[in-house]
Amino acid sequence: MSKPLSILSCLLLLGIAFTASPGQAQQLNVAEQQAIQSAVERVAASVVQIETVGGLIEGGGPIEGASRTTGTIVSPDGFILSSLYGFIQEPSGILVTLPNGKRVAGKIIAKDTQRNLILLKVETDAELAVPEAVAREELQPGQWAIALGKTFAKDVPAVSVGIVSATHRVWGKAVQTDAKISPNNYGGPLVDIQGRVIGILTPLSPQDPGATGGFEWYDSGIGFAVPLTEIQRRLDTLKEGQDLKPGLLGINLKGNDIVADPAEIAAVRYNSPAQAVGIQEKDILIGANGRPIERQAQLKHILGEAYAGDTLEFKVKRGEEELTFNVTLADELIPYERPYLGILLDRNTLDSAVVSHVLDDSAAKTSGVQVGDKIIKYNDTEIDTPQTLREAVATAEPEVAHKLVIVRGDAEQPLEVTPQGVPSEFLANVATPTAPEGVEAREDIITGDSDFQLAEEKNNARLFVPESAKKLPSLGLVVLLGDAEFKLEKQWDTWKKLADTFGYAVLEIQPASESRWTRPEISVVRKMIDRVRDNYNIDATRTIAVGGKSGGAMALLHGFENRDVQTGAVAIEAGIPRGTNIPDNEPLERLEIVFMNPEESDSAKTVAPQIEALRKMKFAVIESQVSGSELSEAEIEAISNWLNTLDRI
Amino acid sequence: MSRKHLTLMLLASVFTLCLLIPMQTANAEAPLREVTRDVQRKVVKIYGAGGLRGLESYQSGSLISDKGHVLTAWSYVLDSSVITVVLDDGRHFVAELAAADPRFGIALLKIDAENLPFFSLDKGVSPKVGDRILSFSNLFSIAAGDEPASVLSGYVSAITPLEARRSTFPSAYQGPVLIVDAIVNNPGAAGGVLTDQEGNFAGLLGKELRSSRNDLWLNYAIPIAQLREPIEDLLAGRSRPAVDPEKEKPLSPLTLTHLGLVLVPNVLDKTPPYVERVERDSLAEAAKLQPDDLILYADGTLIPSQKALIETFSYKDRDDIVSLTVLRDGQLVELTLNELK
Repeated sequence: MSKPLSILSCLLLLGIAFTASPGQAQQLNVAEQQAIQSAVERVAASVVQIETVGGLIEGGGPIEGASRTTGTIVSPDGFILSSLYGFIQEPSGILVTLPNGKRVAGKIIAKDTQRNLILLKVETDAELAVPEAVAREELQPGQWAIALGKTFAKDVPAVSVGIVSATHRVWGKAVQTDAKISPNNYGGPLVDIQGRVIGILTPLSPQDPGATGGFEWYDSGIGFAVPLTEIQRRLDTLKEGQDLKPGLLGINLKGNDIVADPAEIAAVRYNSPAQAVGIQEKDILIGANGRPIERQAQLKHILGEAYAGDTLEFKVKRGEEELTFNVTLADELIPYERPYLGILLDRNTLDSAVVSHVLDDSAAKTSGVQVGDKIIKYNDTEIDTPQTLREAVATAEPEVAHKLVIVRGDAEQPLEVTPQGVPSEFLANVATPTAPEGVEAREDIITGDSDFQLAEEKNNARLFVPESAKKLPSLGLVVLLGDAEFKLEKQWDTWKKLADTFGYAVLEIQPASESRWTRPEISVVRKMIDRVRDNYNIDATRTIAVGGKSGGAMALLHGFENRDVQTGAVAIEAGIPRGTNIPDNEPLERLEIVFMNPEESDSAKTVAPQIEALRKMKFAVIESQVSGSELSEAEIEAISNWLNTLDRI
Repeated sequence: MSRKHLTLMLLASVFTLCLLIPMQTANAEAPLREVTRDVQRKVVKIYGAGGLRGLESYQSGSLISDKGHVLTAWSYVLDSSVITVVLDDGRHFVAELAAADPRFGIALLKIDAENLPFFSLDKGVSPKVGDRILSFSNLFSIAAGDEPASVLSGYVSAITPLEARRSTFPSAYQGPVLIVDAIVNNPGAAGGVLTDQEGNFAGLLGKELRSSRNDLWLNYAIPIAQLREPIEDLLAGRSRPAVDPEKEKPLSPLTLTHLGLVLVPNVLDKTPPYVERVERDSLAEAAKLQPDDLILYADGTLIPSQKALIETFSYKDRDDIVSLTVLRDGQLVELTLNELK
């Protein structure tokens, strides 16, 4: 009898314990607030205000790189970490207000461009307070996370309270929090409830690795902090003035679904770390540093946490064999220059590579390739589709002669060709696409004008599909991106007329604000292109974006990030916005660029150094002039003809 | 105690416990819940002019007396022949604009109702950085009729002078504000209330503003400590005239020419204020300015560009004493303009 009774009393006691009175609950709320404040106090002396003066002009949109930012002290002798975001305008003066109120000049020591951080140094007589750090292995989503910034006041840090949302985000580069993160606290610390530093706040984005990538999420509940313990391990490198950079392998992977496809190598770049150790095409990366790689995303995570100069032990599956390679990641690859033969293939023949045009002054012409030749072998690769030839040429060793085998008439014939670089000019007119003989018009293909809008986006758009779409095996696509200052819709009829001749669809998208494009709208453009691709057979190698002013910047930004669906970008009176990450030219990722500016104009001058930089990276860049504030018919024709040659090999 | 009796008692206890366990969470939240409900009764929805060019025709307000006085933000919404106030219980009133103080961007409305719950401003509090706050407003006009105002929870981020763009700021208020980490300043929120977690009045939510410093949207409230006196004036029926910030400028402002100071050519939006040349026998020379000095601060204000320096000078009289901090050979040097000899 005593047993049930004791259980009963226990249960009753428990019940009483759970039933806290309202007064106690309020005490709990007060205690919670006190815990937050004491966490802030523990680290406050290590958070400094940084002021910057001068520097370059801002690009469009919100002021990038405000004149006040935050820093976190990481050594008693005056080293301070901050976010790269506050320094992209390259300030001419940096001032740091130390916790004792003294204002001293700061110097940039080194940058971490992988995780968007910067190390500064100030001279100090007094020892500075270095905060305690907590390793990210100890963190759990849901625990308190408090963000501190010092842009509002020099004495008390600004506080934003939230929780840890995830521990490994942006390919493992950062911890995620729902505290409000913005330029008001970039560079400051994210601390736990005990006042230990989790990481340094900075904008980051899985898609855009530039210094401003992820800024658009400010105050949205999506914020990032780079784990401090991981930077501390590399602090000596930074202190020596050596920048930390993303580590490069020099490979392209097969397939586009990074969360499903294995890391099978589609191409290995010449002179890259991967090639140097003997990693080959068709190898599958299955592990690195003891961590498994079943999907491409896992490889991105491993590389996201690594830096140039790090050596990783890769496990590689080659056929049935399992091999191990130690690869030291590089900070840059020798720019890849696309080998170019100077041929166009027959777009109506999909199961072989039949030459339909040989361009003048090209490598193919010199080696004797003729219209009608069927290419069946390139070096050691058997060619069975236009795409296999494209990849074989793109990944072949540069600057040497290549063997190819053609079928002419009924005879096989070996030829030798030494590819050149892609010429930086509009090519002479080539024949416009024609439908295969005897093909029936497909009535299920909807042609003509249609309004085009995505339910969830504000952007207005319209689509035109030419009548020829019913017969052509594939269509090109022109995406027009105008804005209030450079309107493209006036030439809608001209585009439509040429669309039929050159076999492309035209998609015109307006910026959401109707006045100018903003960076986050890249995803809208992508979604709209995907929608067109869902409904029509669009040839990605003949898809271009044409934009004026902010739309021109969008044509470039979208192109850099979406080379799987866009091959050309035409920027009229526009350049690359500051803070943009320009991806490397890659064998299987291609973007050709046309800049159109009025002669001697300011925009031409702004763009000139960008063109030089792009050419250094071996991008094919065409400089052209534009006559007025809208495109003339001749200019539209030149662009159309360029599009019609973009699938050249 | 019989066995049956005991079983019954056990069952009854378990039943009670089942009731108690849900109450455990309820009770931990109870104070916040009660505070919220209590505060919501004192918050009103205001409808007036607007609706054109995407301007909202609604905002928020709070009852501050038992005689139907409503404190709200001074804005175009009140610029209407009919201002409607809707109470928490859904009752509609036509309000009269009693008084306004554009210096603080506040206005007082009067409705013909009595015995309403109201905020006692004597109990107003001044929260510190890191304190929990609650915000009450009808943001986005999401609450209609007898729906209570929306409540948001957050923390005080900072207490700092309002740094909103001077030229476009519709109110002259540049005093301290409470910056919070909840997204409180959305359309319709102006005139709403910020309280501490006990429901005491802490501040008045202002209009949507971007920071003049970095162009980011601000989430802020004007602290009650700043508003007590002007509110007393309003309750006493004393209105204040609108202030034109341009009129605050002195008749003969400080200029570069007057100082004999020549900066490097101003070619960019943000050309830094580097000194190119100092005229002989000028005020600039007297202040010991030198070529290649980079002017960083004027009277403690950071000067990010030549434009900002000229703007700052335009608010100073040409005889004002102005302290300058310049960067010279990597060192900070303090100088003074118009220093009396």
